[in-house]
Amino acid sequence: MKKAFLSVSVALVFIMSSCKKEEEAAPKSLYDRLGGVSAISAVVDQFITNVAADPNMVRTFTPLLQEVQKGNTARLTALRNNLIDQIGQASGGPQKYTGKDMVTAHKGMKITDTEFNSLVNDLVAALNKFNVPATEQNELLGVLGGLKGQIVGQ
Amino acid sequence: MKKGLIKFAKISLYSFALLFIALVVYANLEPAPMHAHVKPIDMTIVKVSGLQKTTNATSIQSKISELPGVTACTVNPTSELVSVTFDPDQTDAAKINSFVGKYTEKSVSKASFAGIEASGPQCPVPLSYIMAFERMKYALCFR
Repeated sequence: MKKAFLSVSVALVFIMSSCKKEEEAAPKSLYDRLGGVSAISAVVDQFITNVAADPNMVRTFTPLLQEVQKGNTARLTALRNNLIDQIGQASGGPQKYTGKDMVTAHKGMKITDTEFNSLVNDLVAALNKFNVPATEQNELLGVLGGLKGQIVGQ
Repeated sequence: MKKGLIKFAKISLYSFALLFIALVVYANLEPAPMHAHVKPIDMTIVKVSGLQKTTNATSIQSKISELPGVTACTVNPTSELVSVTFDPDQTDAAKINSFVGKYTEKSVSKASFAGIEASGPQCPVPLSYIMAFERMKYALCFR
């Protein structure tokens, strides 16, 4: 009886430890590796200031910049919320992007390749500011780069 | 007359209660998004005359970033623009702009984006109304 109890206990310990190993081995999502919502919001804030000071971005962000200068932060808040949700969702976080689809949001803006590339450079500069490693940067840019066709030339 | 007034008051009260309950139910249909838990920000963008000639844009940027309440800052010598996002509960645009002027020892003015035609879809409903409704919705969300 004692022997049977001992062997069952050993088997249970073995099974539990193997489950733990499997849990540990599960790869972390890009969202977790980026640092969650607080890190993403910090990167988004840096990205927004980069864009606001970028001469190539003035045409695209004119309504937002004009309203910010008048003291109206509604567009700024909407853009920031959408970016946090979009990056959060794209990186596997719990956020759900509820804004317009990319084609509708950029309809009539006629965004050029130069403007899109400047936007990407502003994002890369923001990621660099927070020392986001190259692997995570490439993963994120890969996801967002896939939206280029829906943004440029609409 | 008095009865009519009481009836009107009762109907109004019930309507408001019903509307409030409907709003609470609507707000709790799904959990509030993560951005609802992030503190809101404000932004200031200033033009600093003579910034093109500066060689210490990085140090200006890090000095501004150290100010209390500042969440991000960019100093762009090419456009001579300095943009700063901040927590409006901790600081304000005037304090930041004044610091930029003092630290850079240059003339600082509010950047102007007037005269540039806006492109893209423009919502007929002012965005501030939509954002106010969203704030109310998240305030009533208990999930």
